[in-house]
Amino acid sequence: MLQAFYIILQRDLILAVRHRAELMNPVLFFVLVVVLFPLGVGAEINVLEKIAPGVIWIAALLSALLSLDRIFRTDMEDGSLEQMLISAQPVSVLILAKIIAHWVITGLPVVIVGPLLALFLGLPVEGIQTLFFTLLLGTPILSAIGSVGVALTVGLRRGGVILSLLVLPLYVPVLIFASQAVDASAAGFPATAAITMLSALLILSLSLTPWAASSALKMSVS
Amino acid sequence: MINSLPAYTKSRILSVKRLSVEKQDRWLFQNINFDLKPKEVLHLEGENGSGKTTLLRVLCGLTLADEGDVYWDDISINQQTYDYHLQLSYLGHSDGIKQDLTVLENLRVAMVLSRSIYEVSDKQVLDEILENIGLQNSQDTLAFHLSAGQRRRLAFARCLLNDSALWILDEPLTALDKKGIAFIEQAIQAHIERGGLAVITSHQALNIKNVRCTRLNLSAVA
Repeated sequence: MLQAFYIILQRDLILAVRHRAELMNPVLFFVLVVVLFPLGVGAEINVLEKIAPGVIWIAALLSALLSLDRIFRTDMEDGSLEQMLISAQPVSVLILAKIIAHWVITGLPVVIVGPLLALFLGLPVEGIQTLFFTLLLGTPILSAIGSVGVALTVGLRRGGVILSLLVLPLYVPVLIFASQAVDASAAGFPATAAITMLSALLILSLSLTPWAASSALKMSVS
Repeated sequence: MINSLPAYTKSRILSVKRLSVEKQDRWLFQNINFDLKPKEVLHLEGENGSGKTTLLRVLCGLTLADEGDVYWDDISINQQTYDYHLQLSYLGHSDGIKQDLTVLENLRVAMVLSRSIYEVSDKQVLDEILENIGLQNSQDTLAFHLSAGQRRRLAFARCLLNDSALWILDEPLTALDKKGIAFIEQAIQAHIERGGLAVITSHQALNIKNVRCTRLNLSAVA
């Protein structure tokens, strides 16, 4: 089982590295959206400081959404998804590996670049620290919840719109707790409550979504 | 290697009872019954669109039948997915091969997914399998650069990786040259002689000697 987890993780990472353009796409999108904001709303430092947590989190959310389809779409097209579903390994373990691979490819770069962009938007150091932790806890939740949405829509020929409608409402709690935490600590208050909530969401989503996604996939391929 | 394996330990029976599948408001096929015992081949025939692939997918448990059920040793396959998948090798319509992985990487993933009887790190076995499918000189080639026939051979290699008693093959001979066809026929023959079962669709005649081959024409039952 561990071997299966490991080989699927490795497989998806190798595939991502061999598709460098796709690898860069989500993080490039994330950087561009955040960089465009000061141009749009003006470079007043107190305005930027105030909207920074929200801007960074919304950009992270959209860039995750942009790359979600890749979790299962290509595997569906070349038939490897079928082989996974009839494999002698638990499907949920394979899906967990795919979720983690998706996070490493699209979430981890955002976790690294996000705090740098926050600096650029003038967020205080305490806020940047909290932002880093919220991104670290929150981006895997995006990949996990997204996997269920993709699993449900991968059988449709044009599932893109439905996917956003399906997944975005489920992303809202993450957005609220995360930006609340960053706001609070930027203003000098403790952010423990929101951070704890995010950790709980993370554990919950990583432990439940692989099962949900595997049931959804079985429906999608049939 | 293929010829040297011992007979399958358990004798198994695949039975299909009153199987009907509906597609877009019309019956694709209705009321199909058969029993497949060890050392038997079922050759599915029928016009294009008569439901051969769908029937194979139902036999794999990938598609759910609208009526009736598939039984493996008198237990519905949906009640023993894990045990059943351990006994099953499926060569689908699409190859299930990742174009951006090398031949060896594809083979390794397949080995882990099927819980191969061989070790993933066993170089000797991998070499032997690659030699069997005629890809010994291209083990580090990306599957993208393989020809259609070579890819088909690589996909077929999945059947040789684990000790599965049931082979479900959807057009195994497409795109293959004479040598490839002879190899696959020989492999199926060895599999049957060991006490295996096979369900095959093919527009070409299969040249397998001394084997009880039942024919089922889907166009006739539609």
